Amino acid sequence: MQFAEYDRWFSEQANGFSFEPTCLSIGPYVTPTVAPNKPPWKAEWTVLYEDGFYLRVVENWFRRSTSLGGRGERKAFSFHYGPTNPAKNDEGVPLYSDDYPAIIRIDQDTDERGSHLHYEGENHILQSRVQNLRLSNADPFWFIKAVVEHRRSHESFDQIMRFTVTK
Amino acid sequence: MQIKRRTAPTIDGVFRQLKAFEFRYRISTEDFVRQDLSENAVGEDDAMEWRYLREQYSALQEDAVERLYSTLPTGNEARLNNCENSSELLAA
Repeated sequence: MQFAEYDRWFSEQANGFSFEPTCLSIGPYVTPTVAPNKPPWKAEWTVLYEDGFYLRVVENWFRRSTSLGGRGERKAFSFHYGPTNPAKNDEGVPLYSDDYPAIIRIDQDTDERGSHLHYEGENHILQSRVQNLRLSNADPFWFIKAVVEHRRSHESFDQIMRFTVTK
Repeated sequence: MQIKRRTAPTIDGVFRQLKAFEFRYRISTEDFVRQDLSENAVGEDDAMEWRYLREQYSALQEDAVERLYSTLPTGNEARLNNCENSSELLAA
């Protein structure tokens, strides 16, 4: 994907959301590295809820080879919802801490582990144990919608997202 | 929701951020590369950020080289310059 295409898509999707009025939104940010808007680029959005929970979506798009037209490729992402750590970075984004485990977090990094899920106290649940959800295809706005629905209905995330975790 | 942009990163800025990671975890770049950053020593958020900074640093270096090359004379210009120099030398 080219940056301009991604930027347009992200902007259109983000415009479709309205959060609870007491929320604090940090972002959304979409920032390319090198002019004129080439990869790598990063998208991030943090929303702090007044009741001590927060959601954060981050996507890191890396360079593909120039023979492929200098496009970007989503290599890493992290979609997190859970209790807010009072310790925050300079921008007010809560620091990730085991003391404040996520209710749900979907991760993919460039390491060997690959996509995985943190869910209801269990860490690093690999794709092989997750059914009806392709973790590597997870979409940030689908995740945000699920958080909004979870907060509205109090349904569990596996019900909302329709996935199951096997033993 | 209006999309925002951060200030474009600089090579120096990204380098300082990478060094700050090494300082925070008290390990060298080589150790960072060798270590499985997803393990407990480095949190998953920091591991992901560190890898992204490395990618940024590499892209910025590549961009700096491209910019440098773009300021060099092309083949024809270089030949012309050489001719002019040669003429000057002959005239001298």
